[in-house]
Amino acid sequence: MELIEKLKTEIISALNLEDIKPEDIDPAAPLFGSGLNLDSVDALELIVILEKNYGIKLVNAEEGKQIFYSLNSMAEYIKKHSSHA
Amino acid sequence: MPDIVITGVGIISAAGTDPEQNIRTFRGNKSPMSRLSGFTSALAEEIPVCEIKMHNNDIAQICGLKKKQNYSRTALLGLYAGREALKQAELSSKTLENTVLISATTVGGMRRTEEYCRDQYQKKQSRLRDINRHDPGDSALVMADLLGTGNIATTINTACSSSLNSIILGARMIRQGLCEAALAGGTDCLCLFTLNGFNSLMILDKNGCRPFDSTRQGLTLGEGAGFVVLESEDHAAKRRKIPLCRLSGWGNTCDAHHMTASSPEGDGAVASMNEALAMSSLKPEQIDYINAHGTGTPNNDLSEGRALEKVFTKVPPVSSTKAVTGHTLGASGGIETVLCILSILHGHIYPNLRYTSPMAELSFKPALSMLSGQKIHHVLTNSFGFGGSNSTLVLSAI
Amino acid sequence: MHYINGIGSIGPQEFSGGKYRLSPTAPEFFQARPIDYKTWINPLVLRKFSRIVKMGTVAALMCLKDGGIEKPGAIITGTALGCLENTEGLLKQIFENGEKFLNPTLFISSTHNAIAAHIAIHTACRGYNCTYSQRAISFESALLDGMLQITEKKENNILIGGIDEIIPALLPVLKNLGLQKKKSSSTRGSNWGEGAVFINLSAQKNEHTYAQLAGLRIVSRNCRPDDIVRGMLKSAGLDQNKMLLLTGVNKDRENDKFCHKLAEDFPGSAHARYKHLCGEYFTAASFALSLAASMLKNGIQAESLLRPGPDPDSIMIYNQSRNIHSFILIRKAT
Repeated sequence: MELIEKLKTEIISALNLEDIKPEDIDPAAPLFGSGLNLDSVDALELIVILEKNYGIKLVNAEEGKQIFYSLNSMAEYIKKHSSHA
Repeated sequence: MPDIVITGVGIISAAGTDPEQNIRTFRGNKSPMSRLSGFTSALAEEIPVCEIKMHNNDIAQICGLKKKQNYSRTALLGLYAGREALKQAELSSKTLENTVLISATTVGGMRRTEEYCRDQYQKKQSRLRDINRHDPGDSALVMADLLGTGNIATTINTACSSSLNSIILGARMIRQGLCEAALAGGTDCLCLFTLNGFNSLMILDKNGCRPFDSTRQGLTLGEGAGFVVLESEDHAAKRRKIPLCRLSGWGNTCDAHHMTASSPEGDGAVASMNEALAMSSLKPEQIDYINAHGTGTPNNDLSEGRALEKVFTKVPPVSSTKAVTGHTLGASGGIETVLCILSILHGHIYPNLRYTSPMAELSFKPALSMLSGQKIHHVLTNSFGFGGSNSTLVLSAI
Repeated sequence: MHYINGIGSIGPQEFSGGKYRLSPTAPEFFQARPIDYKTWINPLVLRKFSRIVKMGTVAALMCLKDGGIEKPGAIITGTALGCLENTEGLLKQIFENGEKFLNPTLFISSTHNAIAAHIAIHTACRGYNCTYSQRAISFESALLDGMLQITEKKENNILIGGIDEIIPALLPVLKNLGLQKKKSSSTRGSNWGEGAVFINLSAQKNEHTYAQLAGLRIVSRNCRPDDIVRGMLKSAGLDQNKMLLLTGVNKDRENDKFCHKLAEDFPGSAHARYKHLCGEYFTAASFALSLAASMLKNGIQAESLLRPGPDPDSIMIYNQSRNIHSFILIRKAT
C-alpha cells in the first residue's frame, strides 16, 4: 500500500529511527510497548505527522492510543479523516 | 546544625504585586487568567495565561531604575521580588556583603532571544542586546549587582522544581558557614518558547487548569518571582530580627523514570516528602496545610495525589495555588514558598479553583474556599520538575 | 575529604586509559572529537538525544566506568548555554511554521537539566540531581554543591560535570560580543570550544583516585587573586613553591593580564594553561580540573606548560570572566 510505505518513511524520519529500514517495520505489529517500543513522546510526534502531512488535528493526546495501535490502524484512520491523503 | 529561619519575603505574580494583593485575589476566589497581551502569539486566542499586566519599564521604575533599560523581564521580576525580600529582612550592609544570591529560572532571557530570532527570520536587523541576556545566569548577575549581595551569585535550572532547590541550597550554605545570609528563590516570565513547547506536549488547558479535577486537561502558564531571605536562627536573634517562620526541613530526589512524566505511583514524590518530614522531625499528621505542585496535568495530579495518600494516612487540607497564579515554572517554588509563609503567619488555607469533579483514583478533595485564621503550625510544599526532579520544603511557625 | 575517583571526558582532546593524549592545535574554534555513541547507549534510546545530551550522558558513563562503578550516588551538572541545538531547532520551527507542527522532542530536551535527567534515567539513579547555569562559574557551582554533599552526607560517587556545545549560529554572536576572535591577530576574544567532562567526587579514597580536592573559592567582586591563592594554600597546609598554577590564558588580552599577573606573583611555581587544548567556553574549568587531576597522578604534560617549575604537590586552577574569579585547588591524594 502506498500510504503504508509513505508512513514508514515519515515515521522513521520523525522519530529519528536511523537504524530501522522500512522493510523492518511490520504494518500489523503494535507500535507501542513492543516492536519499535515507542513511548508517549513518540505518540505526540505521530500526532504532528497527522496534522502536518494529512491535515488531521487531534484535540487531545488520548485519542492517539487507538489510532496509533499499528501502522495499519494509522493508515485506516488517515484514509477516513484526511482531506489530502 | 543551626536552625534556618526566613526573615524577608518578596512576591510578584498575576495575583498581585505584593503579599496583601496576592491574598486579596485568592480571597476573591477568581483567577486572574486572561488573554495574552505582552507579546504576539498565534496561540493567544485559544490559550489563556496568568500574565502580570505590567510593562518592563514600569517594573523597572518601581525598582528605582530608569524606565528605559535593557534588562530582561525575568531579571526585572526577580529584582522586584528580591528587593522586597531584602527590604523586609533589613540586613546590615556588612551582612549583605556576605549574602549569597541563589536564583532559579527556566526561561532566562528567552523572550528577548525570540525577538532576535524573529528579526532574523523576517530578515530585519537583529540587535545584539536582544541575545546577550539569553542565558539563565544573566538575571542573577543583574540582581546581585543592583541589590548589592556580595557573596556568590548563582542560578539553578531544574525546570519546575528550580526555586525550591535554590532555597534548599541557600539553607545548606548557611549551615556550612559559607555565608551569613542567602537571598533565594526564582523568577520566570511568559514567552513564545514555553507557550509553544507545552502546547506541543498537548498539556495546556484551554479553559484554565483544574488541579486534581477528574476532567483536568493540563496547565495554565503564569509568570512572576518569589524570593526569601534566609539566615540562621542565631544570626537573626543576635540582630534582634523576629523571623517570619522556620525552614524545618527539605527533600530532593530524582524520579529517574521519564523526561516528562512522573512515575505513576509517585515514588519520587513520596521519597522527597518523607525526606523533608524526617529532617524536620515531624510526623505527617503534624502538617496543617499542603501546597501541592498540582499543575492540572493528567500525569502530575495523579502521581502527586497517589504520593500524598501514601505519605499521609489522613491527607490534611491541600490545594494547588496554580489555578490562581498559573504555573510559573522556575519561579513556582519561590512564589509558593512565600504563599506558605503567609499561610503560617495569617492562618490561610488557599482555595483550589475550578475543582468540580473528584478523581476516582483519590480519596481526598482539595480545599475549595479561602480560609484564614486557621491554626497553621507546619506547612509542606512540593515542586516537581521535568527530568524527574522532586523537591519538598517543610516550613514551621516560630 | 574530597577525592576525585574517576574522569570521563569528551572534547577536542582524547582521554583514555586514565590519561589525556594531548594534541595542541590552533583552530578558529575547537570541536569535540567524534565518538561512537552507539557503543555506549542503545540506538533506540540514543535517537532521542540531541548532541549535547549524547556528549554529556556518555561522558558520565565513561566517568563511571573509569571509577569502576555502575550507579552514581548523585548527579550535578553545570551548563551555561544548555541545549543550544534543540533550543535553536524549536525557535526556528516556531517562526517558520507560524507556531504550528512543532516537534515536542525538541522542547523536552531543551531544558538545561536534560543532561542530568537523562543520566539519572539511564543509570536508574534516584539520588540528588541538580543543574547550575551561571556562565563561567556553572561548573564551579556544581562542584561547590558536590563538595557540600560530601561534607553533609559523606556521599560517594557524586558525578559532577561541565557541559557546553557549539552550534554554527553561536560563533557569529560570540564574535559580535567580543568573545570569539574576529581575526586571529585580534587582541580581543578567544577561540571558542566545547566539551563534556565529568569527575567522580567521593568521600573515600580508592585504587581509582586521581587527586584530592583541597579547596574551592568563587569571588564575585574585585579581589586580589594572589591573596586568595595564598589563603587557600595556607588553609590546606600547602607550599606555594610546590604548586603548579593552571590558568585560563585564552589569548584575550584583558583576560590574560589577570593570569600572567598571578603567575608573576608566584615566581617559584610552574605555570600552565589549558584553553589552547579545549578552547574557551563557560564550563572549560571542568576540562581544567580533569587535566590537573590526571597530571597530578601521571605527571605534568609539557604541552600545557608555559613556565616549568618543580614537580608539584598541588595544582591551583584559576579562571576569571568579567571580574568573577574562580579558584580550584587540588593536591596529591593523601
